[in-house]
Amino acid sequence: MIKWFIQHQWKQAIRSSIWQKNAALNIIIGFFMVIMLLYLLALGFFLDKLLEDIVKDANADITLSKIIIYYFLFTFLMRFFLQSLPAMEIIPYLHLRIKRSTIAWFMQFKSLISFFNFIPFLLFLPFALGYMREEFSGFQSFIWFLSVFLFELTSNFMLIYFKRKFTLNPKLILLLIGAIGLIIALDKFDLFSISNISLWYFTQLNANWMWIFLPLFSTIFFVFWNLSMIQKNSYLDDLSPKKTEGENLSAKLNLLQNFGKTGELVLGEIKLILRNKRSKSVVFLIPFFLLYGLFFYPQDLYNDKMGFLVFVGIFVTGGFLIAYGQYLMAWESSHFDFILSSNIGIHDYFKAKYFLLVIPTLILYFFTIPYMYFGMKIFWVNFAALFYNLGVNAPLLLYTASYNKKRMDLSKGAMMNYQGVGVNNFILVLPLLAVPALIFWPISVFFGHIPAVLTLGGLGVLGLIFNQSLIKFAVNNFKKKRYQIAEGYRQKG
Amino acid sequence: MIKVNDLTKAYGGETVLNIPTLTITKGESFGLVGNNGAGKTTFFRLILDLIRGNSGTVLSKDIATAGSEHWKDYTGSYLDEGFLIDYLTPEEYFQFVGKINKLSQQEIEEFMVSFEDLFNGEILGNKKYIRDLSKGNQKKVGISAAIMTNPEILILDEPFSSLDPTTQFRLKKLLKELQEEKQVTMLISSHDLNHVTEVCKRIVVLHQGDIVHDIETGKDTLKELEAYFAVQ
Repeated sequence: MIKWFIQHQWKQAIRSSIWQKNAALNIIIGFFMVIMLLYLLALGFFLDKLLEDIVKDANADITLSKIIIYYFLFTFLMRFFLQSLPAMEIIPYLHLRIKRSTIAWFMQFKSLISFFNFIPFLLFLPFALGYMREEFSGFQSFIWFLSVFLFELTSNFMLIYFKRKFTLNPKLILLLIGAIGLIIALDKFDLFSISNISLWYFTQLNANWMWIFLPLFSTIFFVFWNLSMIQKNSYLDDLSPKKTEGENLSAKLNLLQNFGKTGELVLGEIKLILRNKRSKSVVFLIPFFLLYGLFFYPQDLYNDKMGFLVFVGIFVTGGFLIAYGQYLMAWESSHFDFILSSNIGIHDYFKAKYFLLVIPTLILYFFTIPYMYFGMKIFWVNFAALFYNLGVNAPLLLYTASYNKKRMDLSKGAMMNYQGVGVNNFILVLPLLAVPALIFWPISVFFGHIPAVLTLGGLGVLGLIFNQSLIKFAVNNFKKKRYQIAEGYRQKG
Repeated sequence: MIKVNDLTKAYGGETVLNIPTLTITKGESFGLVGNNGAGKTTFFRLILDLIRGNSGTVLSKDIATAGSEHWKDYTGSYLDEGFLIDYLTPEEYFQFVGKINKLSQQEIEEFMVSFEDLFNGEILGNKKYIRDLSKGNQKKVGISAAIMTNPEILILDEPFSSLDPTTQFRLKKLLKELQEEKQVTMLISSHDLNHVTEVCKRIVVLHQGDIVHDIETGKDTLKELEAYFAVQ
């Protein structure tokens, strides 16, 4: 039986629509994957140096023992958003002559393929083979790595249980995030130190290898815990996600209806965003877009490169705009025939889309104002970037939306999801970020900072003044391409 | 009301629809039958300007539908699930369709009340999103939304399939009422010869993109059609 499962799994993987897309996209994705893996591997090789650099008066293994618990907490949280339950995939097997326990084993087995389970090999194996082996014995380093890996597996199997619980009641996710926040806070204020517990455990482990049984037992415990849970709950009504939690927020926005057809369309689209998994995850990404600046602003290295600041500024003030606007019409691909044939004027439709790009961007801008802390220079760059986003990038997205002809399946999350993504998406994002930087940089080099900021902002203001004509331009482009777009959106899979 | 001239559509060199000329007058009930691949949906999509024809035009009230938006003001249509906004509740969908067609709140409410019979208590007030409804109930939502806008032209693709027997019966009655009381021009395709001959006064048979029969419904029509399809 397991042989069949693996065979099906393999077929599912190689017949996945991802591979049937064009080679260029696969190469781009593959390229980013390789880069990411190399980053992790490099981090693994220099982990000891890095740790001793951060905490100067302690050995690397002590520091790592303290913070590794946070690594586990963090990856657990990441798993939450990225790792999917293979629940739906077992539905076709339920009515066949297969024991439920076999199915349950298979589900768990399948979860092992998750990328997270391989991270320890990149990040911690070099550390174990290098630093740990030199400082301790080969055996100890082996035990150390084994325990890290087993903890990762515990996290993997624990997730299966918790994720199931949490899909039944999504509000628990907030509870989890709150709990992790609390743990960090308690540690920070020295009330209760989870990192000391972590340190204590690994000290014990180094002294006595028998402590390996702790993560071993926890892994086995969760495997069997899940087995019984899956066997008891493998019914169609448990497996398919709960229907209609009822989403009330959009009902409160009824005042939008006073704005005629455009308002009605905007309201409809807000419902779209809030009620579909894929679009919701874009909303969840907003905080990350906003915090993106924190990576760069504290470092002087980047602060001097003005072109780079613009790049960051466009992204920080326009993260939502870019992430959402890329698929401007594709969001509605499943009912695009309705949009075309019902009494919605194309112009109204585009106007609604424009508002959906502009209003959230304006609101989100206020959250970027505190970046002033890193200098007024950043404030002014961001201010100009805001105008550029509103005046130039938003209409540009309206225009380029007509080049996106891939149907999107909204029921799946956005992370690592390339369904509905084409090479076009990558090509189209580049000018949004790069062009403003390319405009800004030479002007700031030759004429100084202030003229460069004024130019960038000025372009945005011009775009805002002429927004009606720009929208019309996008509409005309759409009218030429609408049959191809509609045809593309009808193609499922 | 609708005039078709030299309309052809080909996919990859193969002609799937070829209608040299066809006129549908106001208030006519036009039934379209034909096997799978005969070109029924293609024809409807061409009328609704959803696909581009290789040649020819469809005129609605003497204006070509391709490129114009005038026809949208008086045309109600439901072809497939691609016409439903699946993350809305049926109520919200009706609200939306009503509002973009400039119906008042009261008119929308009245419409929903008048359709209670057809909905059979399964559509309204369930707080389910359309995507969570059964196929049949989804179809009810789509058809009734097409009717609610008081269209002068109503285009339905296989409205009877996947409906339960009671609803099929009620829908037939409703469509006949719309013809008699409001003189709605109807274009209906169906695989069910019984239904379509009952509702439509004119039947057109498509075969591989060509019109092979164009007949007024009489008492022998059903037999004629059955005889035709039996030998296909």
